Amino acid sequence: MAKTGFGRYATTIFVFLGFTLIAGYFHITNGSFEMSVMDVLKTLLRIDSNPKYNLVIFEFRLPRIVIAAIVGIGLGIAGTVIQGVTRNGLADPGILGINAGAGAVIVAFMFFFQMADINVLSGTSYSIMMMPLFGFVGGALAAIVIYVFSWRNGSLDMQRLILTGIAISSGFGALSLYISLKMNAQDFEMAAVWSVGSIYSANWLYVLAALPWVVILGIVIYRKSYLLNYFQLEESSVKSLGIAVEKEKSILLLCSIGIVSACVSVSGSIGFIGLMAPHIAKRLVGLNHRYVLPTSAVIGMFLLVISDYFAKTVFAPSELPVGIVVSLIGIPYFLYLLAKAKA
Amino acid sequence: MMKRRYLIAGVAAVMALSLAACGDKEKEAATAPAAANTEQAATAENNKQEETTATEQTVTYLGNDYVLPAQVNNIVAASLESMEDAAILGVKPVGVLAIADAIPTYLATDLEGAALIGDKFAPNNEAILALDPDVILGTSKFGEDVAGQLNKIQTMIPYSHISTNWKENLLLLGQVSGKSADAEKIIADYDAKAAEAKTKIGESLKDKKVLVIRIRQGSMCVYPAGVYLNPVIYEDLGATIPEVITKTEAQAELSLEALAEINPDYIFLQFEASENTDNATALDDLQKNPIFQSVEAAKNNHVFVNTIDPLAQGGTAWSKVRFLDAAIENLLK
Repeated sequence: MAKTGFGRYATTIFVFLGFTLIAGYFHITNGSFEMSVMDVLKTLLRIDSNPKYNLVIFEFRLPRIVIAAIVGIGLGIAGTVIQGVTRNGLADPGILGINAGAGAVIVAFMFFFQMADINVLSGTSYSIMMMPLFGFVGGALAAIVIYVFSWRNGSLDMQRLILTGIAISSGFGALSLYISLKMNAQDFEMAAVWSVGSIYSANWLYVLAALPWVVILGIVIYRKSYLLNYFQLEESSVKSLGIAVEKEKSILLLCSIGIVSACVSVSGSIGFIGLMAPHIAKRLVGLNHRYVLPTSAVIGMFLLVISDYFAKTVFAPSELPVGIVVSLIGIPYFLYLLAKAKA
Repeated sequence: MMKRRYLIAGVAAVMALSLAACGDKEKEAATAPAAANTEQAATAENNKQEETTATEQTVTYLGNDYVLPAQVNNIVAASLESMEDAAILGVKPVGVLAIADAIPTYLATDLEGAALIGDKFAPNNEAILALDPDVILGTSKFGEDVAGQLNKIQTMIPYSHISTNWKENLLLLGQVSGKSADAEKIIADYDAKAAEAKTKIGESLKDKKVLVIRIRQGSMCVYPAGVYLNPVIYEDLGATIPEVITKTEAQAELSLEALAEINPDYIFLQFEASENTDNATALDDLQKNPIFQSVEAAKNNHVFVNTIDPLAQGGTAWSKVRFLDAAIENLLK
């Protein structure tokens, strides 16, 4: 049993890595700037050094793909943890308002930082690197509020969790919109784009800002992923196994909030990946979270890279925010899960 | 168990490798734009050696210096403001923003032949690069990240979206396109016309209330005195600034009750269908509304709808020249 389980797991991982590579291939060879596949290959392998090709590949296309991959991995991991900890298959960082919480505080940070920036001309990189930290504060705040309101008789009430999440989400969403309006009243459309999630302006600095969070916290979560299996049991049974339930839950939740914040600070709020990826992963590799977690990460990566490819090409030269593409796939899937949960 | 060890080690190795690769690329990519610049400068030098010795020129705009190639041929207009200025100055940009996958209809004939570079929220870097621009006229509304990407392609000048900078904007475009004389003439003509109109109708406007209202998302919006079309009315023609305008900080919604209280004598209504997709009948509804009909302007037939194209940005030479004519004509009624 364990052996076949591992076989399935390894196959699934490699298949989705393959899919991601194919999606990445389409992403890097297509765009408004005309380049043949040979040119792309030559530029990637540094054989030919046409400065324009370098700009297109290394400054415009590659950072986008890398950011999409990182954010996809992050959201896949965070989604798995949040579904595991809350024991709710409909939970997702976007639906629960953690995205919105992180987003609101990041927008507030940008607002105050830009005010200060008028006097002190400081480096941009500093502010981008700081953004995930502030996002973390907002995400944690949202999570605490959700926890407090859905805590009933010593455990989480699932219906309250979703309801509070939706309320928190729109509350923080309104707050970010308000702050962005204050920030640049001429152009609140920009804030609107940001709030649906877009990685169109990705650059290497963003990669640098998000990568450590996803890698380090991802490893921490992976090491603790066996706990997620126990959390599926009744709370009293878990306690009797000698697991410090609340402490471990908090660590796992805080780690995933950290990942979500890093993702939100570079890509805006992208929902549904954290919902879909764990579900697909569980279908493919079973319920062992040791397997589900990496699978979900790889599926999340694939989903976001392919979505961003569509976002870039469907209406070219105009861009579609990738968050909208993801929602177009995600909302029907969410409804399907809801209908299935009822039946 | 062993198998899994190998897998983990393998994945770790792949990740480490890809990380290392990324680091390399970053470094090389960082040097790439610099290489591009020198190469471009070199070719420009070869081509135009007899015409000019300098390969670069420095343009000063609103207190900042921007370095451009000496000979600017390809202008990319990545903001509606610069597109309007290009239209009135007769400059043909090689690339312009799209609205609904086409050149905005009100500028379509003037800007005919320009390539599309995406919408204003997300100008397409690759499409702009493909046009080989010598300068990109963006907007001061761009965020740092968008501006950073565009600057890697070519110098991006953040075209001001503040109405009161319209002369600087037009002169800048005149300078880079070699049409400075035309730009100065447009400004001089405008000033002369405005001054003449001010002496003619300015006095009669002193005790009249004039409002410019833009309908967005179904509600009436007003702007501060220095924004949108307002400078034409209050600064150039000398109408008294109503209290509601002095109180407005940015874009503010105006309720029907507030409008009735102000009771303006003249109203310029701007209504653009694409800004009111959820409220397509907002204009008709407003005009039929009994409260609206009770204000002085409506009673005297002094409500003027879309006197200039409703997509016009308001703070550009194109908008101002047209709106000045419209305002003079209508305010004399």
